[in-house]
Amino acid sequence: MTSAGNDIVALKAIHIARTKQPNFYSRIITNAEQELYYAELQDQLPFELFVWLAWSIKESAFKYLKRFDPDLIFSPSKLQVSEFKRTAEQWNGVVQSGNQMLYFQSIISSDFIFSMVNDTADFSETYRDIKQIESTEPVAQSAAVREFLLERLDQLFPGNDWQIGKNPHGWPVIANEEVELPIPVSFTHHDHFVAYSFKLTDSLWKAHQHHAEVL
Amino acid sequence: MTREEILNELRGVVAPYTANKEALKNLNDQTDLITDLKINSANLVDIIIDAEAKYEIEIDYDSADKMLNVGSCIDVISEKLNQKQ
Repeated sequence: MTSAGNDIVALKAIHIARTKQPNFYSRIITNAEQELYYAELQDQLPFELFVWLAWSIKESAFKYLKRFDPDLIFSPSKLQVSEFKRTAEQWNGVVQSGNQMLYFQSIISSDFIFSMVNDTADFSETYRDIKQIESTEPVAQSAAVREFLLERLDQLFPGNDWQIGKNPHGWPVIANEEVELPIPVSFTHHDHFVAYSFKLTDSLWKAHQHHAEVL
Repeated sequence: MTREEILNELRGVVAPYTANKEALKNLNDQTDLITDLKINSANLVDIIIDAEAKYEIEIDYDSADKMLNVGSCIDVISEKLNQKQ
């Protein structure tokens, strides 16, 4: 079983002064992460963005891991981001929950921070897109992100009857002609932004095609 | 404070972070902060900090992790208020 996890933080919706308060940020970043920030990152990133970057990575990791353990509770202080590498377009690194290690890829723009995690540092099989929408209403966000994903699936594989459903634990699933596909997908929304990410390996897609042929 | 009193005050604590006014009006122990009140997870820390300030209590990380529905929020606030006395 594979999984997916992502998170978006709309920067207009965050409270910068509050983020800088120790009683706030200490619930999100660990002492080790704070030390890492002052040792390596403070020239590259304002502190409040670092806090929300860590949040988005940890929320993504939580979503990823919850599929293996539906009773898992989100506890940012128990997740540890141990590596932040910056390239021209994104941030990459490692996040750990106990002895489980995941890899993250994040984008920081002037409007949002988006993160997604994976069980490998190679994100070439992970598709993601971010969109700004008019509404901030949860129902509209939910509908917009599903429509956004369906558009992408139609572009990638035209002529299929795609559906987006929800499994009993509450995470989204992709189905084709009412057959649930082993394509892990994650949705996120905050304020005016929605995003999805999903992992589509060749083997997963071939397995689906074989299944469809058998049916 | 009774559970009912805390519930009524909690309505004011969570109100700035939810657009679901109907669920806010019908708040009960089972109301889930994320799935029912549609509070964005990014605001959960705000709620903990606001509750700490309102009741002049400290909510440790393990207790904060449990604050996912109204009933568990009341349990934690009630426990911390009792510890203060």
